Amino acid sequence: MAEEKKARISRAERLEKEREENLNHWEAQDEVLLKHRQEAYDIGGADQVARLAKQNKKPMRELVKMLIDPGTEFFEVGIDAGFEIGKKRLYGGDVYREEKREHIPGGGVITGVGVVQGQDCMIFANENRFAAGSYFPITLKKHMRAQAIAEQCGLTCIYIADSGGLNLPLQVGAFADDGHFGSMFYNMCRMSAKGIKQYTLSTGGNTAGGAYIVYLASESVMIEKLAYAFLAGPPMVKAAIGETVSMEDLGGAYVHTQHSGGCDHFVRSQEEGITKLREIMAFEPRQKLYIDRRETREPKFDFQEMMRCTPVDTYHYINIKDTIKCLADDSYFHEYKSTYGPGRGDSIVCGKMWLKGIPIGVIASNASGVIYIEAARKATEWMIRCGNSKLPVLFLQGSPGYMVGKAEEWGGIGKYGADMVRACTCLDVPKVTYVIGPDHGAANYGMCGRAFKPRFAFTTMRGRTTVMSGNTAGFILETLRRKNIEAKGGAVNEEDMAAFRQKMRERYDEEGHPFYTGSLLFHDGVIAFSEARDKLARAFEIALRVPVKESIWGDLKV
Amino acid sequence: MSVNVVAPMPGTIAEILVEVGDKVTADDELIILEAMKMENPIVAPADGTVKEIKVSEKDKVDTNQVLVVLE
Repeated sequence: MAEEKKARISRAERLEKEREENLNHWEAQDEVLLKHRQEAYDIGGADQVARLAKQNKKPMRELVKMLIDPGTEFFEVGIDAGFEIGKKRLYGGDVYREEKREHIPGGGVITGVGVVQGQDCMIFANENRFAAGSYFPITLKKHMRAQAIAEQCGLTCIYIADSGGLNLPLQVGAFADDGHFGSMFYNMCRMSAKGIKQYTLSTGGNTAGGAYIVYLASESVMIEKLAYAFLAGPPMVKAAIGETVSMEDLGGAYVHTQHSGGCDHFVRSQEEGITKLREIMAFEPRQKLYIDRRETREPKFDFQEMMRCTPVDTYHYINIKDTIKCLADDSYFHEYKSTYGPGRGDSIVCGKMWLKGIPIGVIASNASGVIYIEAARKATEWMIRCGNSKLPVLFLQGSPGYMVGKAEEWGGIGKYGADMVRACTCLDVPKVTYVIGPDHGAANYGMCGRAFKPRFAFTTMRGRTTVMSGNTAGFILETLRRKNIEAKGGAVNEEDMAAFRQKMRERYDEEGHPFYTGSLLFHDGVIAFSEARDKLARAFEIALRVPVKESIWGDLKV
Repeated sequence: MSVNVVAPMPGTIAEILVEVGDKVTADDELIILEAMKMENPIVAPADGTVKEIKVSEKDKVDTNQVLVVLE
């Protein structure tokens, strides 16, 4: 007997039926996300908080809260870093495991934009509840990322330092390369030369190179009997030259504020230190917003409607205008070329809208997201128009790739895809990428993936970022293996082959998950549906603290 | 007058949701076409009756190939 046929329903009926299912699913997923973050908030548990309290120290997150203006929100970036890092097939996963440091929720340093005395600042705080705040390779990657944002957006940097320095067993991934420990200081010097201020509050150890975070600051603060900075600590001094000296007498706050002059402000407690930082910040010139911002109007649809309109399955059709109507002020979207290339041009929707009063261009994957020639051409045209109008651009990426096959190749899908890649590279306005679906292959490039340096790259829980989907990867790898075995005259064991295909499929599915890619910092954070509008608007606000540049397009084909 | 429902892109027939003789209304889903890793619903362009189904599940189809004829 044949299987029973699925009941035939219209598309409208099916979508209606799915709305409730979608809502439940995404509400549950957002909860999973908030629980995930909680692990980073609570790293080390009560024991570590008690340990810090004994030293008269507060957890770093509390200090950050004290530092920023009351009632403002800390815009954290990279909180997904370091989760299950020992299981990742990259950046020394097995070394983390050997050292029993295989799970570092938050990646070992807290980074994000906070408002201090009305100014957006990039705040760095060593997570001293884990491994004494020492720097792992992933910690450095996160630190570099936050410094890069600060440099691009002209944000004053505030370092709350308490670190055991570079994690020695993992030194090969942390010391000598560009992007490693030394780059922290290089970036401080270069930003300072550009007029981007660097301020440090030392509230713990700063040994060897780590001490430079104090000395290189525009102004720095040390806390009596809590902060230390020296090239080598007492045991090493004893070993090297036989001198016996206490921590406080070797590199305490009084040493560097009275004698060496390496530090500028002496305080007696963390509270005083935070107050000092706020006093310093009071002199910073007022930041501007380099755009014609209008009054904010709320959308007519809320985030729950966005959840209802987002299919559970990453590989199912999405009507992206339903997402846009939940993000845009007054749910108003001005669409570019809405009638161009029927059935083919609309796999990307282009247009503009106001996001909390900020005018932005939008390039959004739609329907299956598969990019046809018409869609690629339209997207390139729109990027050029946004660049020429100095309009910031939001990429809503949900594309599994460009259309394949002879017809598209002859028509020039490669060429038009390359145009998109060039345009999104040379589009020199603030760009924010938000992955809302499949994110594979060249579509990751053309839709401004991480490598194309959007100011911020975020994802939803629905995003999946890999070179291809798990299904395709399973198929291709199986085909290759089959050929290989047959070429050697062997016989294919079908059971083994099925297991292999399944393994590859699962591996790709796992590696594309937002928590996996976030752990490795392929994006700046997973954004919940409930936060999407606020966080995206805030991201553009931060990115518009510097004037928008002229876009120079290079050798486009047309 | 009969209406041909064609494949908008090359792909594989994942599922056929109708049988010959079924009455359908515009926007009803007729066939699920799998292409480019995505499931693409093929819908009825107008009201009518299914006169002929020209493909079977797992068939590979080309762009503009007729899948279903409505009357």
